[in-house]
Amino acid sequence: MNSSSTVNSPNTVDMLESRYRRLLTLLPNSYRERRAEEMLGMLLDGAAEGRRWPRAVEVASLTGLAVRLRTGAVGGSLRAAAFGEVLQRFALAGLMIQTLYFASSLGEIVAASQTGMFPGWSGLGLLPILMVGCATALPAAALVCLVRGRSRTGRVLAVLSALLTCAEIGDSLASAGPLAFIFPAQLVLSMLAPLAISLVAATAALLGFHRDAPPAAAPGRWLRILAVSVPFVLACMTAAQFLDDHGRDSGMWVGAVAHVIVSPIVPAVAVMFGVSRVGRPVIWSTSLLLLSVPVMAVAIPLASLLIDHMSLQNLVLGPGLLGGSLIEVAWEAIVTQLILAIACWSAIRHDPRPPLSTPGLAGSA
Amino acid sequence: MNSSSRTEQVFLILTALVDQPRHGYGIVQEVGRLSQGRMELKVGTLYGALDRLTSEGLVAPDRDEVESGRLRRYYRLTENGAEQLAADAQRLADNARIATERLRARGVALPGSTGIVGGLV
Repeated sequence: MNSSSTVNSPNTVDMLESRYRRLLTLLPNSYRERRAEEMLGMLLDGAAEGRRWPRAVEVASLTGLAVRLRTGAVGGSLRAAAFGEVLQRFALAGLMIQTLYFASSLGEIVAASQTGMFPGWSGLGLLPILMVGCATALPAAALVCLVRGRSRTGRVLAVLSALLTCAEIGDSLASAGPLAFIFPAQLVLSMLAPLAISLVAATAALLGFHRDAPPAAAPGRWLRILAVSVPFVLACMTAAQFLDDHGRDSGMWVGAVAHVIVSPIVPAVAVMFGVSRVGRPVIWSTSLLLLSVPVMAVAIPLASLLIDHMSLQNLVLGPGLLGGSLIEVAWEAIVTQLILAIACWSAIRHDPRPPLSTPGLAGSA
Repeated sequence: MNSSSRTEQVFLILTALVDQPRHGYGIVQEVGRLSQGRMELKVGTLYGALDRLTSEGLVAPDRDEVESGRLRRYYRLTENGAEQLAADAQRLADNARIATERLRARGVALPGSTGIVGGLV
């Protein structure tokens, strides 16, 4: 080290130390109590002589550690570990919903392109089908990567999936044509749910699956749900279009059932697991509480709008669609409310004991 | 974390602790030396890795010392850590041997043996 004009004066060291101490306050309290002095020693040991400010890479590195410790990294508090698990489940459930939402669109669009149910849809080229196919495959691939421990790839795919959802919804709004003028609020609301879920799922994946995060719980269960639900939704939507094309209103009922599956079924199944596992209810409760907010925010106003527009819809779209839509929305609202109620009940009933242990240095130093 | 997913950073941190316990800055310096200056461990990366390795029982705190008013906590490699590192090293050596054999069969000169890398067809 240089010892001529840049020799550390006590004043310079004090200034740097005081700035490092301020920087270390970013860390969670419990971690700081255990580690701050040791980390300060390391930072001062590595500081070049004459330096008065922390380096940008040190600030970035400590900020990243502070975020990771608050979202489930080993060494963080039990509450942070629980929050990290909530983020992970929230991300996985969100990606599952996104997959099923686009799987239903894919089934619909493929069947419509074959049967010519709507004018203009029968002549669909390969591109829109490929786009919706990608929109289905991306969140599914992100989910598979995340549960199989490929966090970095999973996070990239989750972000790409959110971007593609934004593009898809922008495109749908642009191509809605006269429907956009008849039901503008309905269209916007019905598209807000997948948009909101894709954005928050990507954010949760980024925060919950960082490099120091524990692996996802019950990976096999997520993969089994995905493997069963995607073909089911695809089959329902295709059958709905086929039946409708043959002049039977029951097609809409099948479509409605498929749509009901799309949004609330995953959290509904998840809450059953959560409630059945007494040791972990608070994790599921919080995940589902968060997840049900965007769904409810859309389902309830959408239901009231549909009722308001009942006569107009009946006129424009026909009674089959009206019946299907109302049942679908009613189911979505009821199931979502049920999820919310169970989540709240579960959170109140059980002692909020976080499930993860976070071994630290206590007792071993 | 299984051995196949252990990163190079973690591998070098464990390697840095093989011969003696070291404190945080000592680990940073040793990893820099082992990687020939290629890898500079940041404070967040190092402590995130140490927390994880400690929780996995591969590394343990050894002792605390205070020098010039600064706390230095030393870490040591545990027996379990040494076994895991040995398994990782063996796996990497096996992989390197296979790659080397194939490169030689292809006629590629390897750095440090017969000269510089060259002769790629």
